[in-house]
Amino acid sequence: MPDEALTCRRMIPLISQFIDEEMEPAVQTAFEEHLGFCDDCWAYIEHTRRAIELVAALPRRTPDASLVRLLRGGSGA
Amino acid sequence: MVALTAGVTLAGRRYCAARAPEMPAGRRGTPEASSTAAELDVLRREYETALRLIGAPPSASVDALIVEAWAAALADQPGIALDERFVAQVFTRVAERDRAAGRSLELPEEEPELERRFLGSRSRWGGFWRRSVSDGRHAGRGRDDQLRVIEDTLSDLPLFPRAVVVLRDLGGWSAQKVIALLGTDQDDQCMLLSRGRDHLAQALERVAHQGRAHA
Repeated sequence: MPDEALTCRRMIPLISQFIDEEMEPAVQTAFEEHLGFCDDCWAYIEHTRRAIELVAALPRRTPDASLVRLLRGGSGA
Repeated sequence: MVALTAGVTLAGRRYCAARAPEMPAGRRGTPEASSTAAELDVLRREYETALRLIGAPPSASVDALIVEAWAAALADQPGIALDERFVAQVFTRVAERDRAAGRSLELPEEEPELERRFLGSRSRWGGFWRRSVSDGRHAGRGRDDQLRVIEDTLSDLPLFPRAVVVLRDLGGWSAQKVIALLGTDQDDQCMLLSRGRDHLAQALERVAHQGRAHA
């Protein structure tokens, strides 16, 4: 049976740090040991990475002309 | 645990609508009158971040909130970058709006949905995934559908985790800037980011699982 100290449930709050490369070395060792046998956690990291990528890719809207005019002073310039 | 409460912690910080400084005479009542082209560039750059914080499609009330936040940002402490002042003013107003509407600003500490994803402690495999995540990895919908799922899930998040995800992953803000905005610390910022991202990843995992089930 794999190491019970770091279950999938306990991996979840660490995934963000792992992706951002902000993990403490001691934690990272245990985290990577878990990944060594757990395809599901790897898959979940992929879902999280995908989510981050999609947030960054959300369509960017810009203020419409009437709002900009209002903020500029209504001059229409 | 999140130790902050919008409007309380914020009140002691530099960003607080309740103590929004008096506008200079030239801007009083007409904050927009002296928005320079450079200032408007900041607004254009941060507009999407502001909309995601507000969490609603563009409408008259959203415009009104943005105008009010922009006016306060222009009048606020000039020692702080305008983008931070503007986003902080939007954030403060959304926190006040959501609190007034009785909406929680944070995720509940106990999330039954999260616990349901893992086997219980009585199982030999307690704490491990209840159903395979990897089975659905490649069965997700197309990118447009996934974007829609992310957009919907993000807008449903309470303000604090939504703000951290929006600022870090969409706005590209550093952790330090987010910490300064929320008046929180590194641990809380990490926890909010982690829980917010986890909700988004869960949503993608769900549609991937459904995709496999229907394949």
